[in-house]
Amino acid sequence: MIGKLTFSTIEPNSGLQAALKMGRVDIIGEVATSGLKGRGGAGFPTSVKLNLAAAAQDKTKYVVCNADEGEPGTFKDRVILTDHADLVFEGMTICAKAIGAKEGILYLRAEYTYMRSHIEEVLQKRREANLLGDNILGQQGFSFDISIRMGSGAYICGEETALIESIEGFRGEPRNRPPFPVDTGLNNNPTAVNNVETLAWIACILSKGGEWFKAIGTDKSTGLKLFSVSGDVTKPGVFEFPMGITVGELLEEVGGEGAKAVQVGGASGHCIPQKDFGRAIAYEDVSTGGSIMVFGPQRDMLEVARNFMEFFVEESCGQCTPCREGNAKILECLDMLDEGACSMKYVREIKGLCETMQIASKCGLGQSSPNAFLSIVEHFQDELMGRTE
Amino acid sequence: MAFDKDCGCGCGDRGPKSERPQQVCAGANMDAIGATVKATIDGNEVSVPLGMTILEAARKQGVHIPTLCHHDDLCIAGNCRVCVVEVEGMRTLQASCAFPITSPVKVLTHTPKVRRARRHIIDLLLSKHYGECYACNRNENCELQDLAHEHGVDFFRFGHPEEPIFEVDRSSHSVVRDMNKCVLCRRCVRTCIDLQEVGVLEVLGRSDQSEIATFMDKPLGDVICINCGQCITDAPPAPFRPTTPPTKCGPPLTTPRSTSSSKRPRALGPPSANPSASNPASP
Repeated sequence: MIGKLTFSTIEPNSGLQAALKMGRVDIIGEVATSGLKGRGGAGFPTSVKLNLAAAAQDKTKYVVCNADEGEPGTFKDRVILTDHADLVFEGMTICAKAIGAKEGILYLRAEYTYMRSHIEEVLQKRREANLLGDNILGQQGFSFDISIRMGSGAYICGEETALIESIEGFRGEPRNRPPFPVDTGLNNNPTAVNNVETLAWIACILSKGGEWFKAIGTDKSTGLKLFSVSGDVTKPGVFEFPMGITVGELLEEVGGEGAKAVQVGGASGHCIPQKDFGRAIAYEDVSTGGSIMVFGPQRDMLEVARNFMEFFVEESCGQCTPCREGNAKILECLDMLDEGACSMKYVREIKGLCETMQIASKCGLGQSSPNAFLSIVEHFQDELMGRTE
Repeated sequence: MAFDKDCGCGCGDRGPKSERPQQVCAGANMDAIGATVKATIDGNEVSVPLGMTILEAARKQGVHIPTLCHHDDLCIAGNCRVCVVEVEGMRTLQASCAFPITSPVKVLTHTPKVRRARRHIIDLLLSKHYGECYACNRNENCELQDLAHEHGVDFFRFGHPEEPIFEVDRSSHSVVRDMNKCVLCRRCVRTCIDLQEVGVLEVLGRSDQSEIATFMDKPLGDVICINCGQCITDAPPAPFRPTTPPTKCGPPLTTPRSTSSSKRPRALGPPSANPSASNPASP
């Protein structure tokens, strides 16, 4: 990391103190002003999510923090939870105040078990300081506490409905939507599921104001974002950049000049070739949950595509047909390409299948898994075709 | 109150919610009961009860939407994706069997986009479905075969298994389990858990390695199967079939027993005692 993250410049609990003086509507209004969108990658407006959960009339509501950081090449949440766990819990408490929840759950990835004792310590300190528990900071009637649930190692559990199924003790499989979790979530109660980074930004926004956040970034993608940069760069690590930065500018900052391609958004994201490095990293252009994988000139793009598809074949939950069988067919096609045994006709056939997967799969996994294959086939066709054994 | 726990199918709290009916009351209050909402299906506007699925609304209109994992007696799964339709304002196609109508919707059920997606899905199902129809006991009585026929499948776009993948399980005295025919629609699982409340079958593994298995993947004869045979009737192709062909069933219980050999039921009588009964199995 070069310099300090914005997270370390925020005065501890200033956001929570501001939120406690505000009503529900004002808190959600502040988040709406900021234009904050889900930092997990899907980019759903956070204020809309909070508003829907707040509007539900059920007595029991939940705030869930999605710390199942499973996207290949993403490690920003690990940094946030290690260095700024307090800010995340502050954000959860603000969400609880906004929607009227009494219980919060941190769904922690199984690979992050080593972090659990540290997080428990942070939670205990917050309870002792009356930042969690009954009548928080003396405000009568506002009680909220956070517990930790461990994930079980499946990528699919990062999808919010599968995450809820997993918390309830079932197989981690996505539910049918609608209804959405904000209406019928954990134990059939309204549930606001947010990414670790989103929650941390909520705390910052309440502390510094929505206008501050809105002034950074582009019109449709406001604010700052953490990026996990890996691959053929001289300075891999977690970086903070404003939204709307172009791929080329980002590469300059991290020492990745001369890259052949950049995978933005992890395995389920898009592969950007050198000629498109002028494209902006924003929800309206190239969307990302934070993963930036840089491939140098020596990398074989067929191997890259195959690596991603092997991951999806392994991690599909096996519930719906397009994702279960489709990913395996794409991988089969890549193997055939590698052997020089795949016709253009069959590649076209598989591209058609990819389009079906994108629109007919049950959840985001199947809808986004063909992205990498499609973009690599589109931009690196010459490299992929015409191989011999 | 956003969810009606007593859905009437007896599923209670056993099955995962990914496979339970999600009845939504829009506005999240009990006033929603008895309310209706407008749905436009292929251009025809109708008024349907709030929370009715697109599939039910279409059927009421006489619009045919093909289904596979959906069964009227079972909970909603929405996992085969054969019944996908286009809903105005949504980027992706929606499974009509699992989409409750809670606000006015415009649905298109047979656009080229939808038909292409369905065809792809059927091709994918067939790519893992071993066996030839003419040698199958469900030939002419098979939902998968009907679907393929309906969508004009005349070749295997994504291949077809040349060899069986699973060993046929003949351990049970009444049910043969041949997972080579399975298309993972999970109707047998929902039948066994929700309808029969036995719970012999479950999904094992994930991705394309997932399969319908018994407890610890034991032979069907060694688990708590009650031999009710509901999995045979509810699975769309033929992963389950009875061990004994129906023609060899015993006599009806009401048949009066007689000492006279000529009056014995034909199927059980020894060929010598009853020459008129032709039994191709006997020498």
